[in-house]
Amino acid sequence: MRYEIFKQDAPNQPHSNVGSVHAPDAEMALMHARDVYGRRPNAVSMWAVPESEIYATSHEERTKNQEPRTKSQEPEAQGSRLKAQSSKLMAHGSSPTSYAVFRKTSQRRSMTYVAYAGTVEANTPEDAVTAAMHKFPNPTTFVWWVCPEAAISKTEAEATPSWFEPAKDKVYRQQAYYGDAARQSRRQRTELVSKLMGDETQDEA
Amino acid sequence: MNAELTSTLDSRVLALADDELILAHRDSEWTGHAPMIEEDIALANIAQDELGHATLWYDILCDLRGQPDEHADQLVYFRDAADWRNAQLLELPIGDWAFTMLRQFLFDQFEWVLLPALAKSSHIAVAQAAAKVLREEIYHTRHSTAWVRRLGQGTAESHRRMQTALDVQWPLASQLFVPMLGDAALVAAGIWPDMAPLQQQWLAKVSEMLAECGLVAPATAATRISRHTHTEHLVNLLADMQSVARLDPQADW
Repeated sequence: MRYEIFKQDAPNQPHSNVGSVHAPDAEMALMHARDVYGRRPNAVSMWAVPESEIYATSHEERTKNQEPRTKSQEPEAQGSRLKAQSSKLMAHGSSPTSYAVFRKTSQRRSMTYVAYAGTVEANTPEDAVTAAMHKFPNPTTFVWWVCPEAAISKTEAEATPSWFEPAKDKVYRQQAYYGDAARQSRRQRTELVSKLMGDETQDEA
Repeated sequence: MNAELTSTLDSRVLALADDELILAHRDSEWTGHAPMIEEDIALANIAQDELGHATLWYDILCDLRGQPDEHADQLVYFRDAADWRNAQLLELPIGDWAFTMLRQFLFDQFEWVLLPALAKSSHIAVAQAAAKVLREEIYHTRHSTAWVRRLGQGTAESHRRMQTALDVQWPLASQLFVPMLGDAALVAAGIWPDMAPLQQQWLAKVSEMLAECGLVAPATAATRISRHTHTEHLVNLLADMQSVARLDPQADW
C-alpha cells in the first residue's frame, strides 16, 4: 500500500507533502518515512496517510465544475497528483467528519507539494473542499487535498529526539564533509563536524 | 585507573566495538539486495549507525591505550580473526531477511539493557558515548521489533523462517553476556555494569516477544563460549572487508 508522507521542518511550520512510501501498515510507513525523508535535517514530526484516503482536486477542476479524475486517468506528463476517488472516502456516512485540508498555493519550483492548512467539518470529501475554499480563501490555491483527520498516523512527540535529532549529528551525510575529512586528524575532524553541525542549511541531494 | 582496571575496560570496550563493527558490515551486505527499496534504505541507515557506534568505541580505546586515532584503522583492517572479540552471533552470514532481522533484534535488545547502565558509568567518556548510542537505539529497537512481530505473526512461511533463525541464533546469543577476567573490579569501580542481572533483563524482554510471536527458544544448556573463539565465517568476512586496505598498507586514504 502506498502512503503519502507529510514532514514538518520546525514546530511553527505546517506539515508538507514530501513524497510517498510503500508499506504494509502505518507504523512501517512512518519508519520508512523517517529513513527516506528524514535522513538529513530538518524534521520534527511526520504524518502518513494511505493514498486511498486522500481526495485531491485542482482549483481549475472546481471552477470548471469538472468531474475529478481518478489516478488512472491522471495526465502523468503534467505531473498532476490527483488521487483516486475511493469508495471508502464516500462511506463516512451522514454525520460530519473532520477533514484535514492540504493545499498548494504557489507554482514556485520549491513549493511543488501541498502543505497542511487546517481542518474543516464536512459530510463528503467534495463538501470538505467547498468548505476549505471558504475557510482558506487566500492566497489562491492551485491544488486541494483533503483526508479524514482520523486517517492520519503521526509520529509521537516523545519520539522526536531519537527519530530526528541524530540526523543533525550525521555530518557525513553532507557533501561538505568529504574531500578533506579522510586526511584530517581526529581533532581537525571534530572541528569540521562542529562547524557542519552549526550549519543548518538543508541539503536534499 | 590502575593497570588492571584499564586492561579490563580495554577488553570490554574492544568487545563492544567489534560487535558493532561486524554487525555493521553484515547489515551493509544487504545494500542493493533488501526485499524492498524502503528497507534497503532503512538497513543501510542502521548499518551506518552501527559503524558510527563502533567508531565511538574504538576512539575511546585509542585514548585508553594512548594511541593516535589511526590505531582504529589498524585494528579494523590489519587484525586477524583470532584477535577479534565480537560475539559469534554477529559474524554469521546474513541468511534470509528473517535471520537478519532476528539477529538485529537480539543485539538491539542487548544494547537496550546495556546502554542505560553504561550511561551511568563513572568513566565519563564511556558514559557519554553510551548516552549518544542509546538515543539511536530507540529507533533501531523499534524497527527490529516491528519486523520480528510481523514475520513471527505473519504467514506460516515467515513464522517457519523466524523459528529456523531462532534455532541457530539462540544458543549463541548468550555469548553477548559472557563474563570476562577482571569484571568484578570494573563493576566495583562503577565503570562497567554487572552483566549477569542485565542478561536476566534481556531474557525477560526477549522471551516476552518470542511468546507473543509463538516462537519457541530451543532448550540448550547454557554454554559459555569465550569471545576469543570464532567460526570460519569471521575469517571470510575479514578477507572481504580487509582486502582493499591490505593491498597497499602504506596507501594514504
